[in-house]
Amino acid sequence: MTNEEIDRVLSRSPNIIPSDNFLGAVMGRLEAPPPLAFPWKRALPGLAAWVGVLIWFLDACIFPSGASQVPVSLAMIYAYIVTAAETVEAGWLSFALLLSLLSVALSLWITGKRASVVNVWGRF
Amino acid sequence: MSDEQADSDRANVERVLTGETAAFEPVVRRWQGPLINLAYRFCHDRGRAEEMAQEAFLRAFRALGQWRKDAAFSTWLFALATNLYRTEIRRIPPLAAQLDRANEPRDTRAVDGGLEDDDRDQAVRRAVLLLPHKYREALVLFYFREMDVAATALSLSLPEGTVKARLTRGRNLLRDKLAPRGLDRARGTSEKQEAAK
Repeated sequence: MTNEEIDRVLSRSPNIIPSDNFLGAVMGRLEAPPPLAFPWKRALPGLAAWVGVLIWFLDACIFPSGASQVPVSLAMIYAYIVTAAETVEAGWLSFALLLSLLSVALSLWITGKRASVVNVWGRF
Repeated sequence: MSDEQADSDRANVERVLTGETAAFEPVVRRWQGPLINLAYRFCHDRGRAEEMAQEAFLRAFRALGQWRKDAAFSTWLFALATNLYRTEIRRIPPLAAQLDRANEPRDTRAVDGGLEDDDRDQAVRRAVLLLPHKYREALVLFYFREMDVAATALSLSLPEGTVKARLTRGRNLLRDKLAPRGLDRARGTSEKQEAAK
């Protein structure tokens, strides 16, 4: 195929006439009331309670005996973080999260590939 | 586009900005055809083209305040729609090619094995959908813009040289994709038909 033939074919794409209800559908969506804003004021007590429970839960996990220590120096903070990470098995948690992310990424990649393969298969 | 149309668009937009939503209707009425046709060139699916065009109008409506009025409203609208379509098609690639094909009669070949002209044209248009994004977008916009490289470059926010390179590479890829389908034979068929007349 020459460039001129490609130009000729692609220049005359079919003319699509909008459906009768297109204008109405667009205006309908424009005139519809805007989506409700998230009710932050009402959600705030619930969110505060949730954060409180999370803090309590972490505290209970990290200091099961109830002997809380307040870190006062950088070294102590570091030791505190390491101990906390060991207690909640942060390594395994990170590994599990990473694995989840990888499986999601792999699924998306396979889905995309399959769509391409179907495209190609349908074409040739 | 005439100055009268540009002025009308500007007046309608100003009315919308003062809160008169109904003033957007003439804008939609005027540009629905071009926006749907542009979307169709990206996806070759009428239903999806209308959905994408509808979304483009909604986004334009919400972003009207961002139109700086130093360019024509249509230029701004098309830039917005083009960006939306490109993103949308990258997110969900068009599946129209094989769906359309499934509805076709299987044996559409002429007696001597070549494809008929209409089939060839459809094959070329569908092959465009299978090109990598950057070449497909360049080709779609180039032909929609009536082969105006400068307008295409503006739509893609790219230098003209880059657009020309992508067009050349896109056409070459298109030829490679079409070669196994016997398009040369199709051309031979057409020529024979012409000669017979």
